Amino acid sequence: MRRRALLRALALLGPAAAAGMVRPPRAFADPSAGEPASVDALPLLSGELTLYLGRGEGGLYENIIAAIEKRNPDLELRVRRGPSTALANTLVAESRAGRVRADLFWSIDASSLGLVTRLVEPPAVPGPLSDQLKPGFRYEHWVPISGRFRTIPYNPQNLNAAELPDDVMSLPESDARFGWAPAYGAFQSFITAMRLLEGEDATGAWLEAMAAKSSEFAGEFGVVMAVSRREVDLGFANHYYTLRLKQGRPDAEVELAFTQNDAGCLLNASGIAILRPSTLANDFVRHLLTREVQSYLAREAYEVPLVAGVPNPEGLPPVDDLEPPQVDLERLGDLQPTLKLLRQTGVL
Amino acid sequence: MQQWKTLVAVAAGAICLAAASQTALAHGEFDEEQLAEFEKHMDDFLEEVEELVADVNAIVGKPQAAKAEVDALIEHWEEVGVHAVIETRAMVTYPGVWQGIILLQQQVEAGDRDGIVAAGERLKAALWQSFGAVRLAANQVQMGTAPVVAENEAPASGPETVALIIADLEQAVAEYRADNLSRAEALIHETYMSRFEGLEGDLIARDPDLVSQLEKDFNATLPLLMQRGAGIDEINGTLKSMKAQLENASSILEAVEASRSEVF
Repeated sequence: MRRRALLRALALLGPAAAAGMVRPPRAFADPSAGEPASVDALPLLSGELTLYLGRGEGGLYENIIAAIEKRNPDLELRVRRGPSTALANTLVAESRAGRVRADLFWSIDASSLGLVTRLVEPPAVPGPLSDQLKPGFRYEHWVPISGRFRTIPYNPQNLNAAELPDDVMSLPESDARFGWAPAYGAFQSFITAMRLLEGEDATGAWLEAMAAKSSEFAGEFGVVMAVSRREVDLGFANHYYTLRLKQGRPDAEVELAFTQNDAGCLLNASGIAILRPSTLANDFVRHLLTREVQSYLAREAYEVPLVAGVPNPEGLPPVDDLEPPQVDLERLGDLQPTLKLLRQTGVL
Repeated sequence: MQQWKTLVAVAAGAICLAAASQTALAHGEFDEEQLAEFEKHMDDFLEEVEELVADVNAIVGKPQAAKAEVDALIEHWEEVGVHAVIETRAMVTYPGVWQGIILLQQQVEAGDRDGIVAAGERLKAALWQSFGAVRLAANQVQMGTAPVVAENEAPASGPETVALIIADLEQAVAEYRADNLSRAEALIHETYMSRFEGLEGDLIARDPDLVSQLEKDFNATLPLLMQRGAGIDEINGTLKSMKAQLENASSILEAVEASRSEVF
């Protein structure tokens, strides 16, 4: 088994430990990045906008919208809500008729934005918006807002951090007991990323090998709790479950590990596409990229800010110190082959 | 009898047209009031679908239909109230209407008679299918069996959401008592996915064991009791336990929301 060389289980060990062990940042560092903009520097919004809003993050996106409306009393915002995929299909149909009714599409998952990018072809994102984002997240046709990492929560009483591999594909060689939630959308995006990075055969073999070692849970918080109770040694889950658990229970027996440059540390993102460009639509997006909104998402939802210069949520290493893979997030919506693999291997 | 129905339909159409003229909307606008109580406007929506179908028939029936007539059909489709209702209450069927319109437009531009007829039939089918889906949704609202979260519903506060979850669970138990196991299970699953999961984040940091236990009850305890045909006393005992935990969750969420930081 290839051993973790540099980055391991640092998330909750403190910045000093992290500073000593983390490989220099690669694709996501931006030494030229300036200070993130404050909302105070933005003009007041005035006029009508139609926003298609994919559901997610509890009511936090709604809180942001309400705050923007409160700050901008002359903004008349019409919000159409629904599942991100359904709204994306609606936009595709409207676009083919030449009748796109939305100015903006804010989606919790990049795959719906990928569908819209391919089939609706929104105009290119203006440079001043893209330039605020971390270098790995400057997409041509949509603006990432915040992200979430795939992580490996593990029980430090059961496992020595030094024994953890830095390569997700080598996990089947371990004798550890794993927990996963294969019916969860985030897990399926993780397997889709693995398929795109490693190929169908390698992913199928990985699933088959892991199935024999893994206990199934209904949700990823269940996975994290099982790790903390020593029911399993490690698991697969988005980062925020562990951080929230540690917030309320600092002595919980769970730490976060990150693999390097593979699907195990995928950073998926929410984002927004500007479908009918205007100064007003651009300025609405600028509100989402302000220090205040980015910090709010980090503080209240433990989301990873994607604007340069905004700190990560407490408990997560700086995003520049992590090495998520270069996966085209827009392709994560290609779920059918993933579901087929999960069924073929008996995981689903 | 048929004559009477026709007269009623004509009268309803006249009333509808009069009403429509008072509430005509610009393109892309939504009559939120009509949307909120869409189940009370089904006759209006039926009239609108019939008018759209008549537009389609007129295009298909012409030896040489013009692109301008399809454009007029699109204008009409964008103005009617049923458009927004299909978009929000029958979202899955909505793209099909647009696809039918585009196909008709392409066939008219190509001047393909057979293609125009086929595209017209496809569009009419899409309109009726969408109307059927809206009617189903209206029936569900009237019967109290509507989906847990309406497509365009704004999220409620944490304590309000917990109250809705409790109501959903009570309804699920009522369905179980009425021998409707599949509906009961669907309600439990839907309220967990659509409502409870949105609350988890705030609750995990305050009481992870509470979240863990509720996840187990939603996904295993209650559905499994129902699947094995447990007696109603046993089911009610689990429901009582879940309600107590949810009321605890409600108190936690109330405190969380009171202390939530401002965005700006």
